[in-house]
Amino acid sequence: MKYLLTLLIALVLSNFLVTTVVAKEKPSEVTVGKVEKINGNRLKVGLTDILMDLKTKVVGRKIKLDSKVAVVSELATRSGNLKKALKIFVKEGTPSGQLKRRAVQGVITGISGNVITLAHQTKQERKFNVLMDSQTIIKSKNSASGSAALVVGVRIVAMGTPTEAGLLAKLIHVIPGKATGVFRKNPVSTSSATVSATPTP
Amino acid sequence: MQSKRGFVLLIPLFVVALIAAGAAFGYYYFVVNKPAKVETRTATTTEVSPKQFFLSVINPVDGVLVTEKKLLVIGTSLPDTVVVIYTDDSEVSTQSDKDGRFSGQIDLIEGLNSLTVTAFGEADEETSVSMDVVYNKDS
Repeated sequence: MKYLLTLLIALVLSNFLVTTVVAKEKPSEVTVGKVEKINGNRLKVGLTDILMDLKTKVVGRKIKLDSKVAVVSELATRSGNLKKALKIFVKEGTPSGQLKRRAVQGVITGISGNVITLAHQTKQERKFNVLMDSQTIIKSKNSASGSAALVVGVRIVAMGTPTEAGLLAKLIHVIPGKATGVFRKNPVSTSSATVSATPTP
Repeated sequence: MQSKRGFVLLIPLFVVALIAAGAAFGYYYFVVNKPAKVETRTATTTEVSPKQFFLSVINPVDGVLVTEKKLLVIGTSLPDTVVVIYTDDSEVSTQSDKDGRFSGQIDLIEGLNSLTVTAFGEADEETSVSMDVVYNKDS
């Protein structure tokens, strides 16, 4: 009787352990796309059908049609295209009026306070402003640099968020001693430029 | 006495049922519900013109699921090309080496990250590769 009970307890425990380990090791995959259809607890993301249940965690905003989502699910099974969602990340939209981040390159044609005027080297009519603030990081080659590196005639790449006044730079990368051939072919005008930049907080 | 005998007879039956249930579970999980093969994807390459300016992102690939907050972006372009790597919340710039290889580490936020890699060539060339990277620390 005692042996049987011990065996029973051992079996129950081993079953529990195996189930727990298998559940933890269950691999997952992700489906990224726009929500094409919502039908109760089912979603269509791109061409994939997603099944939600009470355990499905939704992170971010409410799921709507056309929302961009990333659905983390158990690996697809042989039985069709239906995937059981473990977690759904809903992409936060860009606030209205705020444009998407982007990177631009050009040659510095003028610096006034914390505003750099850049000209596209081959299409010089294309000019735009780059704004610096105390958070702007200036890099040259693969190391940090100072604002002294920003002088007229230098080619830079600026990365940041577009605003009405220009691109608010988070990062400026100075391209040292480059594009000499392009410089000779398309010399930049430097008449109205000051000597160096003075970023203001 | 009779109820004790009944109980003793019931235990082996329960054990057999338990073993059968375990076997059925194993068969379902490993045979019927066999995980599908993970698809392999190729690196994204954008070429402006063959033999000239190009950008190839080797890691990550579009739509990948990662479990680490820090993501190493690796790719190739022409030697000494300035490459900017950014998401909505993080950015890094780097320059490719003499063999054209570049790498940069970027921080991800949990969820969907729109990653853009832009390379700027000497003759004003510019080419970008954009992709979605999903960071889920619980995966």
